[in-house]
Amino acid sequence: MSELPEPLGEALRDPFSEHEIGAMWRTVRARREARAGVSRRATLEFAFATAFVAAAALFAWTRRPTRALDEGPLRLADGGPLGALEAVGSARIVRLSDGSEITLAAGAGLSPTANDGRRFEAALTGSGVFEVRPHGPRRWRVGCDDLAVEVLGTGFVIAQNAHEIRVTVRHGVVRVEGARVAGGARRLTAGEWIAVSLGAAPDTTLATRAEPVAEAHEEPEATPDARRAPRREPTEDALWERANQARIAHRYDDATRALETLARRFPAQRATATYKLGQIEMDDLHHYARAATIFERLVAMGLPAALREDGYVRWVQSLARNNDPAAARRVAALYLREFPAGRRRGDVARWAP
Amino acid sequence: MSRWARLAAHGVIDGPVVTAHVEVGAQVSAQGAAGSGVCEEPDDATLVARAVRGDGRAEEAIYKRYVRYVAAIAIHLTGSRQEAEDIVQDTFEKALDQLSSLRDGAALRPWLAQITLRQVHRRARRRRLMRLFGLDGSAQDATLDTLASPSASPEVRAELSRVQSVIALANDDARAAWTLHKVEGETLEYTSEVCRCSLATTKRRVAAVESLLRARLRKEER
Repeated sequence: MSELPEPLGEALRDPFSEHEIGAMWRTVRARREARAGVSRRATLEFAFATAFVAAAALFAWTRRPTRALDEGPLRLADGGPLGALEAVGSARIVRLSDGSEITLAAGAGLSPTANDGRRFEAALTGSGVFEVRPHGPRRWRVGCDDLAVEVLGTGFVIAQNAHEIRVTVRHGVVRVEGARVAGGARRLTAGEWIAVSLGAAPDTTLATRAEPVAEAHEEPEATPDARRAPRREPTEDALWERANQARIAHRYDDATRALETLARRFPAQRATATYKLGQIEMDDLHHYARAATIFERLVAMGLPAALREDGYVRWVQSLARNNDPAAARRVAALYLREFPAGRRRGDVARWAP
Repeated sequence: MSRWARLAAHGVIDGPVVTAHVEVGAQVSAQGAAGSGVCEEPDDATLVARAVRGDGRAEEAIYKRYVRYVAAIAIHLTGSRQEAEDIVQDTFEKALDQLSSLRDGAALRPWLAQITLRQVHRRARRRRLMRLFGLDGSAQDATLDTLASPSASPEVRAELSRVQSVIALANDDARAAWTLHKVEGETLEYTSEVCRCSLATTKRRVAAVESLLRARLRKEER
């Protein structure tokens, strides 16, 4: 730290230009004016409704001014129209006029297909986090590939990659339906998730089980007082965070310790943590023999099909890299016996020709 | 005295010298001036009182007075220009909406810092959630080394890069306390007020990050 001034900020420049500062102010002003405009409209509508009822005293109230903000199509929080959304380059958070919030992962897109006072439907490409305002007037329906997630006030995540779509409910209730869902539809409550394979078999449902999806917690740093205070066991999320950060910082021992703890303490995480362990041993530490043992253990766990196929490929790869082509071919043969039409046939053949 | 207090006392903002010139009832405007001194301007309590009464110019004056302060906290804690921009907008939108709840207008600065920290923590939780599900997070395009002053030497940039990699490992609370105290130059007492924790806790959090930095230095020296 000897090269740096105190405070450290003396060595830093202002991050935003005058133009950017001005633009931010205009956005703040526009958002506040848009909300004030919606409120004024609601007040005016209430005044007309009151006058109507006062003039026609026998008729009942038909309008609820407190809900005026919710009527009509969903808009952006600043009052702008809600069209197709895209997150280019980095994740994007979009706030809506009813207080709901959508976070699109980098490269994801959301296209509304229906939007009025009673429903909001959209098609998602990529992945996103949805926080739908509870007790709102609209039913939400988000489609992803041939899967549809229907919600009524909840928080859920749709994560899509090349192999599967996974819907996880953080709070509330959702209904997931699609040709690939066992029984055609499934109701999920807080903490539950469903993963649907995008492989050749159209109705392969990987797993559906209750699993705690905890909010990420703060993990207290070790301090001199920690010896006196009773030590809390780290949460699942904290262990994942620790493993990820340690791997980024090249502290592979810490990363593997965190993953081993995850696998030991959280049975639902055992497969994923083991896979990650194998990745570190092979890709970061180049301990191919050790990686092969880990992936063999993974395949023996009795996992859903897609994960087993991935485990087999990595097992074959680690054996090949360990200069044991005979063993690699033996495992490749095991894979082909179990998955004669497997989607990873090409990869296995590449590592064990 | 914090860095911001020093700059405010001399009417200097980072970069070109700026003078804020105010007449009663007039809009606050900035004029470039070389070597100018400080002109009289309304204090925070006066601006807050005017803004609460609906004075749009007072609201804008509050923004202009503190936008760089809020932006610095946001960008130094998130490392992302886009996130920092969003946080600045969210912070001022909320602050101006809730200004009437600020009982002591003179406490505007720490109050704004508290709102900023809440926004930063909220987004950090969102980022962790997205990482947990394998979704991409925001680009880290504004780390300390990329924000180095143009005149910074390569050695300073290298140290900033090392500091950045270490503080990224600290938890949100420790990183916030350390950034306010060591980067923004705030006192420990001010930092504990903004972070809403005891002075002892603030000292522990700052010490925790300092300990990480020393450990990294020792590792590199081996």
